[in-house]
Amino acid sequence: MLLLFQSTHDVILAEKAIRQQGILRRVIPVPRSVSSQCGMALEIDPADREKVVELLESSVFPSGSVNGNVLNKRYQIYTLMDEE
Amino acid sequence: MGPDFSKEGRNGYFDCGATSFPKPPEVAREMARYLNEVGGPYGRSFYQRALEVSGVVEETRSLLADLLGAKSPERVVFTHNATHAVNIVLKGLSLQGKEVWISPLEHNAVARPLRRLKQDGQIKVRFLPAAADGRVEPERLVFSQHTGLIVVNHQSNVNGVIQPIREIKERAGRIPVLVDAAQSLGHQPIDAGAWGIDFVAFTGHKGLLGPTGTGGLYLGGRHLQPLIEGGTGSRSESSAMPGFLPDKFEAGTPNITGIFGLKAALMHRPVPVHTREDFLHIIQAVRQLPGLNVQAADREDHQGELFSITSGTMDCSTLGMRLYDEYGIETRLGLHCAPLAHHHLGTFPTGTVRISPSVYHCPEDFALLLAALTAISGKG
Repeated sequence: MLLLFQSTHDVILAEKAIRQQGILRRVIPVPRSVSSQCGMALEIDPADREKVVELLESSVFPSGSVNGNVLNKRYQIYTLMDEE
Repeated sequence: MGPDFSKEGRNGYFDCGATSFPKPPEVAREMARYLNEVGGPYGRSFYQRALEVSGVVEETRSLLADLLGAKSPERVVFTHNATHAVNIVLKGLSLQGKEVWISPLEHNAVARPLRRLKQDGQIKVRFLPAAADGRVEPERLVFSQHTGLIVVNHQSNVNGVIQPIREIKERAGRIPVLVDAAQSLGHQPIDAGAWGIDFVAFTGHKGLLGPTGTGGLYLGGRHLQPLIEGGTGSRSESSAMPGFLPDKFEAGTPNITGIFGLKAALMHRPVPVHTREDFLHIIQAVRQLPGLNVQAADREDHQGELFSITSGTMDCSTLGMRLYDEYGIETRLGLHCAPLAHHHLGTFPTGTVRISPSVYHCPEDFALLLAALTAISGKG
């Protein structure tokens, strides 16, 4: 499962928190099939989805997971083909 | 001939209002480590090197956010310096037809962009009511419905007056307040989030003891257009700038080398080797010298850690040159890029000699400075 973030700021915050919990598989480039943006994506085990969402919402983005003037979600979750 | 700083082995650099020196040794070490060992970009890639660099940038942002009392770290965006940050606000706010109220002690970083906006017919500039030393008097503040922005230099770079920014914001209510903290951050406390301050412009190379080319802007939440647009490593498919923080105001690769140094400065802040009483004693002692006039705050509790001197018998260039030639003391002479302040203080256009020490100055350094000024004032 992949986590994509709006900004470098957000991905670094999330990477640190998820790594500390011992549930980060690895940091990979954003797959072209998912997004045309450059940068980092975080790969995690699908079994850790709930734990990660809880971590992001409560600890990483305590001021809210929306940033900007439109309803921008600060992160997105993608399930990989072979995980479905 | 009085004491010579270079011979005494003392620190004669009293121009930290221009830029701080020395720095904590870790600053140069960390900058060299980035250049020689770490390398790599901020964001934009996935490998470990990019991750490490991006981590340092974000840790620095978080340290600054804590220092400023920011509501969240992404509200602090990196800039080249305080002037850059001030320009983001003055040119990014919608100020058409509005009044901009400023303190009488503003630096040209504020005065010049405002002059441009005024010449373009966008704004009117008005001065906040202030005492003789330039300290704004919040109880006298009355704003009109046309007031679009208030700008206050938190600590004057001419006489060191500290402005009551918290009280000014309380009186301003919903009117946005921009604090120019170029001289104050690292010396004076700022709790921008709790005080409701809308914008804080700051630099990394003065009170924070970091390298030049670093600085930033705290954004309390007002809508601003970015000053420059470009690549951010995010939303790359779009030709529009991202609307989210911090990317909205961080087009282009940041000063990563400088940010490594700034982080080191924030983490290795030295304990001052002189007390506030040592500094205030110098001001009091210089006031007693014949022929010298001190430009400082009217009250000691309004005094930041710098002040200026003028002489009744020689111009500031001669006074500053003699301090340097005869005693090895380095000061800043002239108008300090703040002609408005000198108009208010009555020292325009001749200017002043500014004494701006650092946390590294010990009482013995102050004693030698006083001895030099005593000798010069005695000789006329």
